[in-house]
Parts: sequence; C-alpha cells; structure tokens
Amino acid sequence: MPKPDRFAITGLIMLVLLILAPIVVVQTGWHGGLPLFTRIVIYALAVVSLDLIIGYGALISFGHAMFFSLGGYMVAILAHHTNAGDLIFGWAGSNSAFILWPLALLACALLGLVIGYLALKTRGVQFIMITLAFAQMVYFLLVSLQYYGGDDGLMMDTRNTMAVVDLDNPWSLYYLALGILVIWVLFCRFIVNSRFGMVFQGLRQSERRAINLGVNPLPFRLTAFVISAVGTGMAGILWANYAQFVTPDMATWAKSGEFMAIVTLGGLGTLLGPIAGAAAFIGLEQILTIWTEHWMIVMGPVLVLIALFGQQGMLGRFLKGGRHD
Amino acid sequence: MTEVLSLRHLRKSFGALKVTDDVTLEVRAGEIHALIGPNGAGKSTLIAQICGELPSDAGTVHFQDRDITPLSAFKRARLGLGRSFQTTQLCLEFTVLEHVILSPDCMGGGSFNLFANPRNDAGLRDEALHWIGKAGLGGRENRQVANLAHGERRQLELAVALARKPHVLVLDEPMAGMGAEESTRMVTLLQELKGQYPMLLVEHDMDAVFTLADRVSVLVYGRVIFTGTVDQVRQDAEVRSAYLGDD
Repeated sequence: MPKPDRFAITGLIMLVLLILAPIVVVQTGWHGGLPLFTRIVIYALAVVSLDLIIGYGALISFGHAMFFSLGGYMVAILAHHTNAGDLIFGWAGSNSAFILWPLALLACALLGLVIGYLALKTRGVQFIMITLAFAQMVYFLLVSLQYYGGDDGLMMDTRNTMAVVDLDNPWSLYYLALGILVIWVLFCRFIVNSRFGMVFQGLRQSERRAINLGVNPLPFRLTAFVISAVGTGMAGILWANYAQFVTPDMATWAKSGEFMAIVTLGGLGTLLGPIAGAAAFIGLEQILTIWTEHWMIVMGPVLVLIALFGQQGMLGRFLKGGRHD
Repeated sequence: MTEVLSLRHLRKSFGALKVTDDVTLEVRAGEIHALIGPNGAGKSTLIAQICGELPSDAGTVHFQDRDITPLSAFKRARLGLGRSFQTTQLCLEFTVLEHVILSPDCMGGGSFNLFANPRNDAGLRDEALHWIGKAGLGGRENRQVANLAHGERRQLELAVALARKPHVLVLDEPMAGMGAEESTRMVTLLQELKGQYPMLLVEHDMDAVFTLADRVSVLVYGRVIFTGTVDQVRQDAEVRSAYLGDD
C-alpha cells in the first residue's frame, strides 16, 4: 500500500495546472497558448496509452503512430464522404462524434488485435521491429491513398459534432480533450492495480514465474495492447478535430519514436510521468522552433541528458519512490 | 503406492548430445524423491521437460494418471504442478504479500477483471499471510521482493508455490547458494511439509538429501543409473564411484 498517495497528489496538481494554464497564458495575450496546450493534452493521451504497455508490460511498441493515424484518418475519411454526399457502403454517413468516434475506435481495436496477435509471437527486439514494420505498412498505405490526398493529406472541412460540446470552439475542444485524458488516466490506473494488471506486470517481471502460476501470456498482453491502441486512436481522433487535417506523417516511424521518447522522458510505468513528458517535449519544441528551425540540435542533447542523469525520467523516481518500504 | 508424477522413457537430445536418455522415474504420493547427479548430468533439462518448458523428443510425462506430455507449461501449472527455480524467478517489484496473493489469484489462469484490486481482497490477504508465515517469512510481507536476502527469496519461492495448493512440488536446488544457517532452516521447513506434498527434489547438498528423501535417483549423463532408498544409495558401489567419490 502506498503511504502518501503521490499519484493522487501529482495527478491533482497536474489537473489544476492543465485547467488553469491555458487561461492564464491566453490572458497574457499569447493566443498560441491554447493550441499548444491542446497539442500537449492530445499527445498526453497517446503517450499514457503507450506507457501502459511499455512501462507496465515491457512491450516496446515502435509502431503506435499507426493507431494515432488510423483514428485520425477514420474520422477524416468518414467526414469527407459525408460532406461530399457520397454513400459509404450505402450509408449516408454522419458528422456526429457519437457515431464516428466509436467506429474509429473500433477500427483501432481491430487493427490492434490483429497486429498485436502477430507481433506478440515475438519478444524484445523482434517485437520492436515487427511493430515498426506494420506501422510502415500503414504509412505507405496512407501515402498511396490518392483519393484521400496521398502524400498531401486530407482536409477536414468541418469538425465532428457533439450534442453538448461545440468542437468548433477551441476552448470546448481543449476541455473535452482534457476530460477524456482524465478519464483515461483513471481507467489505466484501475487496470494497473487490478487483478488483470497484476498478472500483466508479473509477466514483465518474471515470465517464467507467471507461466508457472498458470498464466497464458498471450491473452493478457494482447488485451493490454488493444487497450493501448484504442487510447492512442482516441488521441488521433482528437488530433484530426484539432488540426482539421490528417496526413500520412501521423503514421511515420518518427512519430512513433516521439511517443516513445516522451514516455521515457516523463518516466516509464508511471502514467502521469508521460503527461509531464508531453508538456516538456511539446513546450520545448514550441520555444525552440521560435528560436531556430533546427530545434532538434538542442532537444537532442536535452533528451540525452535526461536519459543519462534522470534514470527514471522526470517523474519516475518520485512517483515510484513512495511505494514500498 | 500411487504414483503422482511419473516419467516414462523420456528422451531429449541437443544435436548428438543425449541430455535425457530414456529416463523413467516416478514420484509417489507423500514421498520426497531426490534426484541427484553431478553437474551436467541433465537435471535441469529434465525439470524443464517435466514442467513443459522444453518439449521432449520421446517418452511421456504422466501427472495424476493423466498424460500431460502435450500440454504447455501454463496448463501443467494449472493442473497443480508447482515448482521452484534453480535461479529464483520472482517478480522483484511486488511486495512479498502481493506476490503470494498473485498465486491463488492465478489459479484458474489469471483474471481479466480490470477493476477489482486483489490487494484489497481480505480472503486472499489472509490466505497469502498464512503461506508467508508457513514459509518462515512472517513479518516481512510488506517488504519489496527486490530487497529480500537470497535465502528469503528461496523461502518466498516456496510460499508462492504452496499458495497454489500444488499436487506435486518440483524443487530445483532449493538450497543453492544458501549459507549454512539458511540451509538448515530450509531443511526444517521441507521436513515440516514432508508427507503433505509429494516432492521431486533436485539437490546437491547430500546431507540435506539424506535427511529429507525417502527415495533417491541418481542421474549420470542423462541416464538414471540407480533408484532406491537412502540406505541403498549409501551402499551402492556404482553410485559411490559416479557421484559420491571413491574413498
């Protein structure tokens, strides 16, 4: 049992910051503040999902951008047809988030199920490579979709609609994304502490022991992989609605790498660390790009320093510290 | 006497090397059957074959009158085949209590319940504490496994195995790497458990084997060259030359 619940305290502080920060930043007159925080929260959703399998299950997916892109493309493509008046397999389409988003998430779950099933036949470096390979396949598939813009990507003329929330209002979109992030973090926290999560973590710590307890590894790992894919897909959906634009870039290996870097930066296996990682990474990117186009020249060494000296990322040591005697 | 675990004509080769060569032996209800043999005799390979980590080239493994040869390791475990590992295999980040709770919780293969926290299940806690006490780790249940001493980890391995209510225990050198005092404690512990669980005990410490075992099999170059009672082993000339050393 954790003594002081560092997770709850850190989570609350983060939540208050994320609620107030954009208001404060925009008050100072900088209107880039709200989009910046929207990007941070959307990325946070993706990297929290990735942390669930990397941090707790040591399933190092180097292909999570494929779920990010699939979520985004699903809603963008469906919106495209709906607005053009084309039938989609005889269906007139819809712009309602309550119809499109579950469909997009279902697609992510199915892709996660198939790719997870195949990739989980392997371990370690092979798992990294096979997830990367599948993500590259998705990337080239998107590039080849000339009808949907190919290389140039696909514009989304209108955002999805929601009964209560006006997604065209950037403030509503931000707080909706934040709300989804909060629910998702709590959900992941439940999973991690649940019967399922205990077995899943046991498998990472000692697979031989877990097997000798009667555990069949595949269903546990596959379930976590699919949950992670769905969360990352949700981030993609929000991204499409934020940017009103999807491109194959969403599926590049560089994007997958960014997600991995953010998780590591923030602290593996902490759920909250990656949120701080996302804020630091995207915040730094924003600041450095104002200063120079070659922002990676600075970002690179920063990442190296954190990897070297903050062995458990920004929050890893703190969040894991209070747990045991 | 009834056989709980029986190996019949088990074979395993790596290339030209016969590591398990026509091994037949059985563990009877209530007995401790010790398996001894020099380094490289194939003891660890044999255990891997029994537990399903390594497929056998030929022969069968029967467990409680059931042929478990085609079953994978986790299915054998679910039937009640408990074991300890030569080099401890434990989840280092869990506390002792969490680790032992995991055992009965995984009995049916583990739960997909995403919301219930097993740490808050009073029944599981009590059960786990019982086995922790039994294995001599009472009072250390909230210690993180990574912070346990070597001997304590061995005891925890036993607690983890016992909490699953196994029908047989396969113990791969439970005394390995232990100091004299820890060894003595482990022998005492195993003596207490004797009769309640049939055990296949692989062990180098001959004093421990002679103290604990009902019967002993001697494995040399993958072959069982002798099976008999402790007294018979002591007197057998072949065993002496192969293993105990000529005086």
